[in-house]
This record gives sequence, structure tokens and C-alpha cells, in this order.
Amino acid sequence: MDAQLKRGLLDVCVLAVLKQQDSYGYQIVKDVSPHIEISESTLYPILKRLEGNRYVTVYSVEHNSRLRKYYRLTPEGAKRIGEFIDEWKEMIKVVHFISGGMGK
Amino acid sequence: MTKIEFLQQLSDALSMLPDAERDKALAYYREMLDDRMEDGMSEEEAVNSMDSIESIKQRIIQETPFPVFLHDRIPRWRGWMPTLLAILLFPLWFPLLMAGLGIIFSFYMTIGALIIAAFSVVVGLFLGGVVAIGSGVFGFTFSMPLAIVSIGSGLVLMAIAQLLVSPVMFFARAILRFTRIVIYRIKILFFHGRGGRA
Repeated sequence: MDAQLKRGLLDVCVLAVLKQQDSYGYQIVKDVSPHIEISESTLYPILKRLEGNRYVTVYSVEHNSRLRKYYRLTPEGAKRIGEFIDEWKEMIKVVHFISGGMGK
Repeated sequence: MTKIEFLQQLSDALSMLPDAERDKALAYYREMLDDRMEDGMSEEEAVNSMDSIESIKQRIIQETPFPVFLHDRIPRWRGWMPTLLAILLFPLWFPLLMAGLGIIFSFYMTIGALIIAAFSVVVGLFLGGVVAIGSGVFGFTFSMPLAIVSIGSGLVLMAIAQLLVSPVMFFARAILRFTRIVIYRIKILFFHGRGGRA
């Protein structure tokens, strides 16, 4: 997959995972991995970027005598998911048109 | 490698970052290792499942914007003294700042110009071919041999243009990749060494 395209997709994939429920780094990697390739090193700058854009907020929870960072989706983040889906609905229409023209 | 060794090596690799940034990164990877071990992996398996220290460092530095590197290096702006100095030394730092911005601007302009020039070659050849074919078709009645030469050369030009599309795309992509590497190297060069206060 094109690198730039993937970058944009991964940001929203993470947001989508957080829409279900608040989550932490390792769990996010596990939830996103089946759908698109992501490593913990790819996820780190994504989380920083999402936090910087105020799409997510961070809070710490104690777990087995260590602190775990949990991420929560903000209203702006939820809105971003909606915008992304709308953008891609357009794209999917075009792809259908293109692939419909072949193999007939 | 043990977890402690991994985190220590990572800390060393990220020494050019300000303390706050480096601590955040270490906390993230410590948590990731702990979670993987809790999930059943042994310490060694967890460490091996991480990307290499070098690629982690590259990614973090590439994603960190320039201003963040300066966080701990710029002394605090306290009181009226720094403001007074800034005003007095204006004739000194302002031209330097403009020169610096000028260099950055011309760097990006050069990159843009190279890419535009490459594409122009392809577009120019193609359009030249179209014109040659067009004038050949119209000139058929005047002189058939010349018209054929015109159409023939037009086709050759269009063919060359088509052949050049691939190399030009590759060239444009290579230039963009080169730009990213240059910016990365500049960050390493300028901000090398202990980022935070000891």
C-alpha cells in the first residue's frame, strides 16, 4: 500500500478502535493489526499526533503496580471519523466505476 | 537483551531529544514491553518483537518537529532584559533570520523546480509530437513526403515522451525521498548531543 495513503488510514483506524472503548497502546496494536499492518513504533507517533490534534485525550490507570496510559476519543475525534468515511464513500463510488468497466 | 538494556540503549539513542520527549518515548516502550510480557511473552521474546533501536530512533526523530528540539536549549525569557536585548540587537538577528528563511525557501523552490522541469520535458515532447503530427496531416496536400516526415517525427516524439514517464516519476519520487533524508540529517546534525538539562 502507498506509504502516504497508509499513514492517513492508520490515524483513523486508531480513532475507530477508540470509538468502541478507551484503550491502551498494546491493545490498540492488537485490535488494528488484523485489518492493516501496524507496529508499536508506527503507533507511537500516531498517538502523539492524535493527541496534538485533540482527537484523543490521555489518562493513566494503575495496573499491577505500574501506570498504564489509556486513550479516549474526543468529540472532535469522532467527527474526524465521520469526515473520513464521507471522503471515502466518494472514493468507493469511483473505484466501483473503474472496476465495473473491466472484465465485462 | 534484557528489558533494562533495551530501554537504556533506547534512552542513549534518543539523547538528542529534550528530557520530556525522551521520557514519554521510554514510558511508551516500557509499557509496551510490560504488556507483551504480561500477555505471555518472555522478556527476551518481548524485546525481540520490538523494532530495532535505530529504526525507532529514526522514526521518532523524523516525526518530531524542529521547534520541539529547541525546548530545553533556549533559556527562559524572564523579565524585560531579554526583550530589551532583542530590540537592541534587531539589526543583527533580523537579517540573519531572513537569510536563514531565504535558504530554506530556496531549498524547497529548487526541489519544486527540478520536479517541474522533469515533467515539463515529458509534456513538451508530447505536445511537440502532437503539433508535428497535426501539421503533417494538414500539409498532406502540399507535400506528401514532408507530411510523412512530419507525422513520423511526431510519432517518435510522442513515443519518447511515453517512455520517459516512468523514469520521470521515479526521479520525482526519489527527489522527495531525498528531501526527507536531508531534513532528517539536518535534525541529527544540529541537535546532536544532550538535549535536556542534565
